[in-house]
Amino acid sequence: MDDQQLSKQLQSVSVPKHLAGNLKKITQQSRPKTTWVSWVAGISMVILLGMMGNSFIKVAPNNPALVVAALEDIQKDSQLDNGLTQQQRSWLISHQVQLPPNVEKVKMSKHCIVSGYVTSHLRIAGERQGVANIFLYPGDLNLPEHAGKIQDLNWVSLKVNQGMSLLVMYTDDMRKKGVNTILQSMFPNEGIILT
Amino acid sequence: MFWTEKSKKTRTFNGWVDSYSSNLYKTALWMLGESSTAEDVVQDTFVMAWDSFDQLASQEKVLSWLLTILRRRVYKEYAFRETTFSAESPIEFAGEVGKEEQPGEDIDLMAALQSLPLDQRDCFLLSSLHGFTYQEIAEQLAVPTGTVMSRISRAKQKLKYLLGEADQPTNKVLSLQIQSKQEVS
Repeated sequence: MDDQQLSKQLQSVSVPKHLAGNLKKITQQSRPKTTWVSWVAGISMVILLGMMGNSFIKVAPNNPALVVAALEDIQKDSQLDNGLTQQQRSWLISHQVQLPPNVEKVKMSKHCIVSGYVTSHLRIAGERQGVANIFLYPGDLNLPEHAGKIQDLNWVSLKVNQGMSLLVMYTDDMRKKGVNTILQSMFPNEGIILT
Repeated sequence: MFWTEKSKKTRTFNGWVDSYSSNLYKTALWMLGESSTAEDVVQDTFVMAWDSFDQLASQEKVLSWLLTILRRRVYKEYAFRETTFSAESPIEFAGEVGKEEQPGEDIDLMAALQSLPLDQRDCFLLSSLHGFTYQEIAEQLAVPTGTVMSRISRAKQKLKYLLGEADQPTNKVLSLQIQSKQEVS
């Protein structure tokens, strides 16, 4: 293979069609430059929120940054449909994690960085309905809370074999029963039951 | 005035996306060997480019600037992989990063590229994928031109060897590297 053929082969890889469209959305998330007007408005807003704050915080607890980052990752990869890759399969096996049950289809699997943690991320469709996203991390995720809800997803954090941490985010229609089935199949010796 | 500037910035940025996102994705893919991570890296690169938009000194060097951001992100990705995974398990990422390929095996260009050291892979891609000259690559990487030439030459030599198109590299150091890896495996 000469240099020209090599160069041609390097160029020949296909680029995801949605890539440019997704990248252009970055400009829509930009924040305007701060001016003295925005400072005044900001301070006023802080005072106003401070007056309303206490009662609001009680009914709407903050979600940990890790959960927020995981949600962003879920949204970003919502179009990715690569199934259970060989790479992820090997990773699960090497970490003594059983594969999810056959009836629950792994729609997407990948490694991703969530708040600085390189996690294995699986998106699993329920047998009949619902979706569960499972983030597996071979260490301590340091999540201050153990369960909560963010947008339309319930989340729960768990510690399983050999110090592995899990963050599971699932839709209401997946129900805890469906999540239990998946987790009990992946970690049969842990006796996991979400209640 | 503010809105005019903002829309000009948006137009320029979108122009970069149209012109360079494909090439950046290809670079990330050949560097990392995994499409979903490559996509993440390109996205992070453009987020950083948008945030640092005003720091770009010359519009003529946009691609070099974006590639520098991308390179940092790729190296960070490798650092994460090493610290998080390699110490505790022999996880191999797509493209089997770090695996020393043997000539004669049925390997493709992706697998062969993943077996090159990062600095050689980087120089090789800047030259063969982007068509930068040795001098331009040297400026981009802040290394002497001779170093660039040597890295590219070694990369090509090893690729041809791994793809079964050449005998074992004549370069003594490279031969020893490959030989020692073969002994280990």
